[in-house]
Amino acid sequence: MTGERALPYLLLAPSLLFLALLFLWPLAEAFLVAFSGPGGQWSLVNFREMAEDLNFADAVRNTLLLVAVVVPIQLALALGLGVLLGSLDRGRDGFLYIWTIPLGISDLAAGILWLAMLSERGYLNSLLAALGLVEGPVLWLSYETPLALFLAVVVAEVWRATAIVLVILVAGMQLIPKEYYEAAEVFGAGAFQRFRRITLPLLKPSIQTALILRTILAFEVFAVVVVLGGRDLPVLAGEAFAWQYDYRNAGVASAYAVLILTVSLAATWLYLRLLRVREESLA
Amino acid sequence: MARILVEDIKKTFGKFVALKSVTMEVADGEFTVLLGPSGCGKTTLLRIIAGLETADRGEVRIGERRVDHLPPRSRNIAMVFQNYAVFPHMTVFENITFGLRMQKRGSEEEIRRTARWAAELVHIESQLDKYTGQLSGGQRQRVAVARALAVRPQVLLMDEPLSNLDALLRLEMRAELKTILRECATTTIYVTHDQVEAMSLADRIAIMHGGEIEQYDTPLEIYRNPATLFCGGFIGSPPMNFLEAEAVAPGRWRIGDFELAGPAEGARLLLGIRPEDLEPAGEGEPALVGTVQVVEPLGSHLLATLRLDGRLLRFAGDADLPLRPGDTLRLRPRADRLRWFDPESERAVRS
Repeated sequence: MTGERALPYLLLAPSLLFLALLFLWPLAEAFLVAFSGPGGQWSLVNFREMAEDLNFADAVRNTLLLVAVVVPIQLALALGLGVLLGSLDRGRDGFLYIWTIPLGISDLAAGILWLAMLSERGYLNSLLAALGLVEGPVLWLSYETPLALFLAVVVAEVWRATAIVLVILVAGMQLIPKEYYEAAEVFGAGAFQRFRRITLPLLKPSIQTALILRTILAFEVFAVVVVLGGRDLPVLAGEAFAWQYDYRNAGVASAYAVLILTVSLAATWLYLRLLRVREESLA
Repeated sequence: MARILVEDIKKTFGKFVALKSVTMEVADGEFTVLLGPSGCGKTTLLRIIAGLETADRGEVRIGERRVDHLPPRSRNIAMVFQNYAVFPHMTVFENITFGLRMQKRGSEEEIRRTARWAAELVHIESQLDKYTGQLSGGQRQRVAVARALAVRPQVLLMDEPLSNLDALLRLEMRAELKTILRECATTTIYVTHDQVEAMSLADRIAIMHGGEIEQYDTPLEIYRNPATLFCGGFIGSPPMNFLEAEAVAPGRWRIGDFELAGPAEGARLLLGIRPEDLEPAGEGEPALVGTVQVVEPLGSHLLATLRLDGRLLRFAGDADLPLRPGDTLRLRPRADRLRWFDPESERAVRS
């Protein structure tokens, strides 16, 4: 009897060990590094150095802005596409596969792909020149055009990572029994009312999952930004990388890592509170 | 309140013909049950009337208005679904008022009053603030019925509303539904595969088979005078007995050694007789003679299965009859309950 009760824990043990070794330990390690001074004593000196750096305010602002712009666009797009998919009689899987192709591409490759389009000798400039809209090559991705650079990152991120939201939402939509829609239709709800009164509330758990996942990943946005803008568009993860490898300062890099973690945790907590699903309304 | 007219409705799903050409009329305030085995097209017909399915051809009228081109929400109907389809993210009150709010019917005060009225009708007024996930299956179905009645529809459509409930609850809800719907006098179409449910609720039953209505009549008339072999076999438990009869003279028919009067026309017919319309025959009387195979004492009566010239015959008799397997039993059909069928067309022949 005791053996049977212990079995689930035994089976879980390897993954727990794996997590502890490869996740919790490095995490604790990063905390230690971030909070220790030059002599190894407890200190906030790394955080002070991080905050006093010229790029810090920009990095925080850019990262928050990216999250605030990219995540809502992705959610809205995925909801729209999901509803469209749901109203298809056939070919649904085909569309879903095509739309999820960007998921299979690494974010670095995605960045390079968009760089090829947006660089001064890229497809966008060729197209604009062919249409006679620009004289010569225009520099889109430079520190002199921060807005264009920001928008380029937004577009690339939306292109690259909307599919994961879509997949989560479509899976959630398929769990909503079609009788609910039929009942709503019979009792007078039009298409928009059905979306608002049935789809949205019943999709809440999926929306929550998708938002948490996407927001955490958006706070860590790195490769696409580095490829498109280098440090012309500073972001938190980029700064952590620069301090670690350019300045060889693991302390400040760790401080950035701790900051990203804290912001991500705060966002997750916020989603869990705001999108709470009442226990009793789950049938 | 309105009558429903369905004319020449045809519906196919790919190669499967769900409805061949269905025409029926439900009178104002009438309770009609669509009864048939699964796959007979009864649910499809209901969904076409509701507007959840589009017919290949034909017309649907509610009242004097043609509705087959209208979406469900413009048809002035309400529906109760087999698995309730009450919204889990809304309270009982929000569920009941859903239709009223969607159709913007009346002030907040009026909506509250209507919801109260509907909830009291189905006895869930004490549960209004609960979420439907906290309710039992029976209570959820009450919410579904209240939600439907609250919009005071011209037509109420019910798709096997009791089939997900356990047997005892089903019996209770059936009686209650009958009372409630009588009170509301709404024109109702009710789909079920349960003949007892159909018999107990319906003003008229439409027996459906293979995408067609085989008979559309009052429960007792269908029971007494089935229009087809299928109707006789589907209604009644156990079903009607069918015995092959040969003509010996015009109007005289023979089953084994038993002779009886029947229709003047035809050479071979099937005699349909219900198990309870057979009586033990006296000695020397002409009778159907069979050997008792199985005896089932059911309390209220006794059910015996007899073997008669290689065919099975069911007989329902007095619970006190001293019958045992192996006994020889002599039975006489009640002359006024004989029904004749043509084995070719499978339709009833008037005698």
